[in-house]
Amino acid sequence: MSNSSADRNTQISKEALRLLGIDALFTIGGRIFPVVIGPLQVHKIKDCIQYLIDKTGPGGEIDPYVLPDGNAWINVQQILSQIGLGTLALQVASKYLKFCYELQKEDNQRIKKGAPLFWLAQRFLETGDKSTARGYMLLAFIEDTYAYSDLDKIPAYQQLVEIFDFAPGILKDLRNFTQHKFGELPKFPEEVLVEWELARLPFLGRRTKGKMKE
Amino acid sequence: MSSLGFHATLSFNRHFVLELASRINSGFGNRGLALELLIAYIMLTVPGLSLMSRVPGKGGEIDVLIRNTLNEGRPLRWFGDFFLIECKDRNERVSEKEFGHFLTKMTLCKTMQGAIVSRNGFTGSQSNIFAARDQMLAYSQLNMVILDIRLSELMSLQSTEDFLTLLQRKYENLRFGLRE
Repeated sequence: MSNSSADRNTQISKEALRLLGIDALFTIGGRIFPVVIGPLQVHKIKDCIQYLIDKTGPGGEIDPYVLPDGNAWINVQQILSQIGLGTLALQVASKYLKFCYELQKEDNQRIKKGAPLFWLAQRFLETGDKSTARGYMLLAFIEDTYAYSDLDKIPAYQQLVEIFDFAPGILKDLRNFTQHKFGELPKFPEEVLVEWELARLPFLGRRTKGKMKE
Repeated sequence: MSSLGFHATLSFNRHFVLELASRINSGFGNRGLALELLIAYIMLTVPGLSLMSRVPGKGGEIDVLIRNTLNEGRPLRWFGDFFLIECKDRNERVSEKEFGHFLTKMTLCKTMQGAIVSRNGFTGSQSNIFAARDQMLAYSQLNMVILDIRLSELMSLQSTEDFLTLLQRKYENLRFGLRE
């Protein structure tokens, strides 16, 4: 990301947070502290999200086709999470992913959704919903299958192994299946995951002339 | 065993549901595989349900056996430990003969609850004749619940809760002899 792009994303993030009444942010010892002059306007989360939506699109100030990670959507949710507004962070993360799917449909073009999925998984984990987090983290893993040559370099891989107790062999199998079956990733990682689940199922036995047929 | 089964839930993504439905409606259902994928996906969005096994048949039918790991009475009171689904990706309605075949499969699997997912539903559904009649008989005589789920109904779902509401409504229609 160029400096100007990073600066612009930072500016958009600050504007989005300002809508919630967060007027400035200070970082001390790696921790972020919000500066709130008036009351916190958490009820304006919809305005905050709409502001981000208005800035997002192909060729826009936030272009998920070019920069799906490290943009204002990610910045805003991370800051909200760090300052203890986890449910708001989850709303932002959830809407970002949904908007990516909407853009895909409108433009009939695939967005690399590894980062939106990964961060949404993190947000769910922070709220204690480990089951949902695990599902999203698996989808993030699939999305990043082609982006990293080494399995353990995929951001979701470490999370799945260390936090979600996935066996490395299972993830390796999922990756191999993805690369073998799909030359190009489909628009929906859910398709890969469910196909993988179905491919691993045993067949129901059938009786044929008195013998079980697999 | 399914790796998702006990530990992860997929969240309902309506865009994905509509994408698969669009493929099926356009004739690109890949001989029933897209319909199987669709219903398997929706089932996996219900916490506690997992895929257990499958068998592809001739002519675009595929059976998927669902395992329910939740306590009795969940996700629905009548759902049972296992649920068999047959997917029929064809324009023709499900005939009595096909219904009978499915009933036999359920009996062989010792499963009391199931569904046939198809594009246009059972024959005779407006007048309770043919396959629809057999559906009611299977319930009243054998206590077997076989639901008639149509692709158009899956396309209208907004969430997993909608899906469970759909199943419950269909069960109640079957149980009390109500028309849709």
